[in-house]
Amino acid sequence: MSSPALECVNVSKTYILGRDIEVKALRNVSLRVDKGDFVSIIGPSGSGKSTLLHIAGTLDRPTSGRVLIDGVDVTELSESKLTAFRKNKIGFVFQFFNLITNLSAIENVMLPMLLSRRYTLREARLKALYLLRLVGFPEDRLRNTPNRLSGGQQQKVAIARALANNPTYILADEPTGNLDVSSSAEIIATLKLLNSFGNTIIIVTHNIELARVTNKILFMRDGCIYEEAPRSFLEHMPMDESTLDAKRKIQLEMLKLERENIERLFKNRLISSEAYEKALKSIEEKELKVKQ
Amino acid sequence: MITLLYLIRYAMRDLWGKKVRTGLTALGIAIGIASLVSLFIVSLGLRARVGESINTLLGSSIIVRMRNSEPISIYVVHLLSNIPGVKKAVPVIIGSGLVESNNAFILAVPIDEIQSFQTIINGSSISSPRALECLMPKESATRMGISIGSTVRVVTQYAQEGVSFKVVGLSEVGGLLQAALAGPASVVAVSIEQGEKLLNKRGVADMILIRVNDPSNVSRVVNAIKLTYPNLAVSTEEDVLNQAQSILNTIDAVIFTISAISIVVAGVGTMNSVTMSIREKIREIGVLKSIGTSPAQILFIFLTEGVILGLLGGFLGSVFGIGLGYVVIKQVLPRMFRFEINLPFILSPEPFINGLVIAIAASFLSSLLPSLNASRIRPVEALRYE
Repeated sequence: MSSPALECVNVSKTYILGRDIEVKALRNVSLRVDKGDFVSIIGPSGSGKSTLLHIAGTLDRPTSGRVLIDGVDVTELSESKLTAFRKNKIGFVFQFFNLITNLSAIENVMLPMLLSRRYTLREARLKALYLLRLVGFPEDRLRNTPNRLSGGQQQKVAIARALANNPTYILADEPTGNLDVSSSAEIIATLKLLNSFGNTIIIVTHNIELARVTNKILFMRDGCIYEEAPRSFLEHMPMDESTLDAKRKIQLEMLKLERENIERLFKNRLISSEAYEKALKSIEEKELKVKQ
Repeated sequence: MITLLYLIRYAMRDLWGKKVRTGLTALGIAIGIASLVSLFIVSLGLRARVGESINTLLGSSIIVRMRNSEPISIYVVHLLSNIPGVKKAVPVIIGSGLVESNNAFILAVPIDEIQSFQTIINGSSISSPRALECLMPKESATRMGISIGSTVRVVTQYAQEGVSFKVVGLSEVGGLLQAALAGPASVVAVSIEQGEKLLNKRGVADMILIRVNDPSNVSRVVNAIKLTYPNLAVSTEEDVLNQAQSILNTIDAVIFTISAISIVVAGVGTMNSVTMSIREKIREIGVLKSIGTSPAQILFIFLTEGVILGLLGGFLGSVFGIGLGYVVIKQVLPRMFRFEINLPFILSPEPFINGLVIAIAASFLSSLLPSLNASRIRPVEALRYE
């Protein structure tokens, strides 16, 4: 089980939001996920993990670098080839479940199989049933539409749907992000079980508890990927003395304005003397802090 | 195949999920189609009626006039009746005057021919060529308070003091001469002898109606007349029918242009509905695409929605329209004008099919643009959409 399911080579993604405004969402990210892996990518919001997920899911293209899925270079594939590719190679699980609202639970799972045209209606129904049993979906709810299912049940349907066409890997974007604790636990257990049956799973999350369950944790910060948590991140605060001085001055000016405001209010009898005293004291304390 | 059925089912459930909007959009289409279909039915009736009238009057007859619209000498009548194949040549005098101070159209023909011009529904025909007797349309007689046996005063340019005629029979209205020539004025039929005096047309006729022995001889007779008398203008039932058709075509064009506007309005309604439906589903379109639905399949889903709306509206509209056409023909038209218009109500599959096809085509076209846009939505953007 050492052949790669997903390989990203020096992938960069730059969004151009307007004239002269560029956002570098990914910077030279290289990543390899082997078949059978259970990988989590964790990082704060804005770190680029959603962008990486979209690129790994062929929903978006990198600005530079190459993406290989199951040994196939998908970087340059046409939109219609990508659609076919996605259908057979990638399963998606989203934070907000994203089931098709006017299809029942079992029909949602059948849809990818019918779209692939590889299954007959009967086969698709039977396989959907097996998948839903596998993820622990209650059998008396098979005909319910998503709006009549709990969050946990919807996410189980979503996982079953992701597995429908035997994908190379499943991409899960915050799969427990919208669930209560017990539903989250069930979903995590389900994912772990499916991985133990040989399914490759990539999870993107900022939930460290979920990440701990996986075999491999990758950390994302500011568009870069790390094998270990970059601890120096918070300590490293670049601000030199002169900038600090300028900020101090601004703070003092602002406090001066506050003091004038309070005095005017008091003079015009708009606030009581106690309130005036209290406010004055707080301003003085702040001034002291700046001057220290 | 199963995939297509699945996508159609998806579209139907989507429409079913928002019944009010679906219903209102279909209603919008239905109104447009109903107006179109009902007008189509009235137009069908009108055509049938005109054809029928011309056929009753002319059948396989031929109308002969002078090319310069001058009266024709009565002598020509005798000459024409000698042409081989001609059974009979009937002189006709037409003119205008006043009957009891109302505008009237005067029709004078030999009394043995009078019934082929006017269908008598009450009373009898004119008894003798010299009798001061006349026939009047029932409707105008009723309006003027005239009944069989009453005396009416007919005034013309040449009989300014007026001549009194006894009304002996009431005729049906709505004949060709009534509708096409006289308009809302009534047609008073008298004997040709009296007509000559009233309209000062002694020894002449305005036109000559020629009856042939054998309907298949019409063209041969027409050619013979044209050859022998180049000054005469000859028209057959076919010519008159063609003339009438071209008038009817103009009326149709106006009518259908007006109802085309309502179809356009319905189309815009459908476009709005499909656009809204897509707006609400952007995220879902993203999901569909991410699980491998192709742009063509997305296009198919929303076009199907549009076509179902068209089918629904077209069916409703066609049924409404046929009902409306029935009401207009049977209830509105006979009462709307001073003279009665009786059109036949013809129930054929044609208006129904036309209505349905136009509705489907209109809704297909108007949902094409929003559906194309939907199929082009990029999944990443759609998934980000709240």
